[in-house]
Amino acid sequence: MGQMGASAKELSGQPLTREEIGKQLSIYQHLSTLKVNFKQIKDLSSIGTKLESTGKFTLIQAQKKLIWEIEKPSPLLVTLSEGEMRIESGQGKEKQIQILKMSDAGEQGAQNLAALIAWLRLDANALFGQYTILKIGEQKFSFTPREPAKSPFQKLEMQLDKSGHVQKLFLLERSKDSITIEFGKPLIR
Amino acid sequence: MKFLFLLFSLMMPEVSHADAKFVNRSSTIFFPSSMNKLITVNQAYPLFWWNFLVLEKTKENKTKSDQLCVDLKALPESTLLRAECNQNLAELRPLLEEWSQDYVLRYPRPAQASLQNALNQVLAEASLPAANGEMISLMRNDPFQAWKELKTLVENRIPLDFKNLKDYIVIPIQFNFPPTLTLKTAEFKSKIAPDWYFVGPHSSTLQNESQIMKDVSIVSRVGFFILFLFVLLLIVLKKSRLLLLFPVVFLGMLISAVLTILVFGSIHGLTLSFGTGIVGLALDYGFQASLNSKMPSVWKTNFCGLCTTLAGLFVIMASEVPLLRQMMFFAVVGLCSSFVVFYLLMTKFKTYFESSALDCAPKLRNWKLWTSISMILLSFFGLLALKPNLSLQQFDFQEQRNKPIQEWLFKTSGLKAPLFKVHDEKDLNVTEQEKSWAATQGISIENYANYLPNHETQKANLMTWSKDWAVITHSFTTTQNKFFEPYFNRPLPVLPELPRRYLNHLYSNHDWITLWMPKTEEQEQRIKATFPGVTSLKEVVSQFPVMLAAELNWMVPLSVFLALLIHLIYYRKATLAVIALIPFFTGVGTLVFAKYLFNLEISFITVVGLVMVFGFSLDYGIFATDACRDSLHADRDLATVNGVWTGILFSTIATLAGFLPLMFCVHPVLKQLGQVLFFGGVGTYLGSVWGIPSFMKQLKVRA
Repeated sequence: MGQMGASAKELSGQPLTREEIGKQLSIYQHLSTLKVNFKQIKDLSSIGTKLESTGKFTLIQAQKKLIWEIEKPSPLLVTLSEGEMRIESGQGKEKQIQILKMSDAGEQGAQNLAALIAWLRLDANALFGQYTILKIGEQKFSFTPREPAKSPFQKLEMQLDKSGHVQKLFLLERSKDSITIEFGKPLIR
Repeated sequence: MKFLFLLFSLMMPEVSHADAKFVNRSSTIFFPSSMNKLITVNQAYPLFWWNFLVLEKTKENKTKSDQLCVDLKALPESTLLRAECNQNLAELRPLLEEWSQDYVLRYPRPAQASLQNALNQVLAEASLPAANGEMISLMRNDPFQAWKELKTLVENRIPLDFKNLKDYIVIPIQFNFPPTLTLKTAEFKSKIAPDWYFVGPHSSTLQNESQIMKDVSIVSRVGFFILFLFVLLLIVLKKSRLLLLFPVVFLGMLISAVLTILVFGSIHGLTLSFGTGIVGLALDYGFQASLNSKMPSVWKTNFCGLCTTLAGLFVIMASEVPLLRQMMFFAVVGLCSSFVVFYLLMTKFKTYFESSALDCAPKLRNWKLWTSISMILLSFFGLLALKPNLSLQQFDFQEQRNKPIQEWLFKTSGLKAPLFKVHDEKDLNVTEQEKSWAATQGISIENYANYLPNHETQKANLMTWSKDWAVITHSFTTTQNKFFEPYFNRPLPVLPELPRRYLNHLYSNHDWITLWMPKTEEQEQRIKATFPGVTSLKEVVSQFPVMLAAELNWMVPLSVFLALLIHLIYYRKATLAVIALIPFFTGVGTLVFAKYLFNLEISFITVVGLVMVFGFSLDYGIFATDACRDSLHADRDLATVNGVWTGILFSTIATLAGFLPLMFCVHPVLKQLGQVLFFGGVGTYLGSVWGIPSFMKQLKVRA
């Protein structure tokens, strides 16, 4: 279960109500901008390799905009906003900009994206609507899709730090590939 | 009885389905080989297989549209190549494999640092949480992100945006079979989009064929009813022996069909359709011989009639159109063999075929003479002044429901007929010139060079990769190695001998097509001036009736001249030779009269129909002229040759009965053919029984 693997005992934790998860994530409900460094490992189990990347994540609540900026292995700036994804890659003369509509990503891709946006915005209401949430440890929560067939993820786990910021996210895809994202100290306005 | 043969012929499409080995339905036979390659592009290249499904924009129809998109996506690739309907990247997948593999043909190997950057860019994108298993799989096989270029190219194949139209939902779809496979189109329409308006080449071909089949069905039913009435008439009139003539003509057709297959390898459905109609003319000789068995000159008259008809058929055999050549061959063999069998049977077993005549001799009246003269004058006016409408557009039958939608679609989208040029595969360098010129002019173009450089460049690019392809992955990181293993672990592509899937729409039978999509008249002129030979399908198609009309321009006068020459040899008198042509001119005159009375369309189908009128009118002319010579000029009553008039009457009834049902068809081709043959037939009869006796009487009075 990756770096966040939880024991069977932990998994049978207490279910959370909408109010309780709202309270846990309250810090994200009132901010206007969030900036945080991340380190991500995508474990492609089917291929037997791991993709490591580092970068910055920015959330601008008012514009409902998310910026996922990868610095390594190669600069890549992804801006997610309503219905589209803008990808800037390369530098200098080799810089390329690609704008993808949600529909371009296909049904499955669009679902992935929608699910991910809900996650990265840490919208407690949306998350509660989509997942059954259990508390499986100290500041540790597990999320199981209410409609598994519609979710790209089989299971998710979230670890908050003492101040209530997301410290670690673990996403297990239906394909058995998994993503672990570790966040640094956030800058909040 | 000609309508019986017409019925037989109209059922031929069904017969041809059953025996495709010998019966050919290909459209290539319509056109001379020089024209064939151009005129059949819409059958040969999938590039032309786009159609449009249209529905009014309402809330309810939006649901229908969403369902349609789901249904379209579920169709096999053998039916649908592409539907511009909620497209996503996964749909590029069938093309992407070869496209990304051929990256090494399109681009030289980059410097090591650039190569590393490119791979890392893909890895960065693959690391995005949104990249699912399917996307990862695509990325592993596409390390240079060639899909981006392919997506743009595929989207540009339709340079129009149908997504934001105000009144209608339009879904462009590209079939993966030519428009001629109408059964497949019909199945698609009825199962997938029964409520949708359907516009495009497949729709048009389907609608035309369906209408023709509906018309044929009506003609068949009416025809069988008329056949029944005719048989009844012959029995009531105690002329049932005339029924023995039909099997002979069928035998002639059979002999002709076998010989045509032996000479041409197969027989075309249309040869069977129209050719049998012409062979049916042999019945006229049977009628004459049967009803005038005591007349010693009857076979001489029949032979002269046959010669004039054959002269016309031989002239048409010189046409550049292969179908006409085959059809005339069939008609000549059929007429001759029927004639020979008639002669042998009716001279040897005369009594079995003998039939008495009706009392139907024409009464001579002045008004009949003047009517005939008027018709002849009208025919001269018509032949000189009336120009047939040579556009083939008028024959494109469109259902009433689709018509306004098609007009709206072309108006709204500003669609102009695209221009094209077909290149031999050895001539591909030109496509690069076309591409770069089009780019400077801002004109959309779809050609080979959009996808691949010329062979020399491909070879040179490939060389840069092949030097160290086997060890290329040695400089990769472990992750790069593992991730891009599917791409770099396979052998390099060889230069494509056959077209790739992403190029299929541009390739047919060792030729490549370039499609130009000008937006204005001025752009169209510039393209044509810079690249001679560029043309549009409309222009090519319009050349066909023009060519046919040009041929008929010399064929008709030559046929008339040859007929006149045969008449001169036969009669040895110029006046009689000319008089025998009267039925043809009164036939044409009646048609001209009907054209003004009923506002009929005169097209190249009219001209083709007139060739058939020419065939039977000369026979009637000779029969009537000989009859008048043997009666009036020998100071005998016209009634003494009642057998001739009865024969002409039965021949005319058979002709009219056969072609009258065609007049009630909806499809313009069948309708116009019916009009020409009906009015031409009426005029021919009147010229034979009113005109010739009246003129002959005048000649005698003057003498």
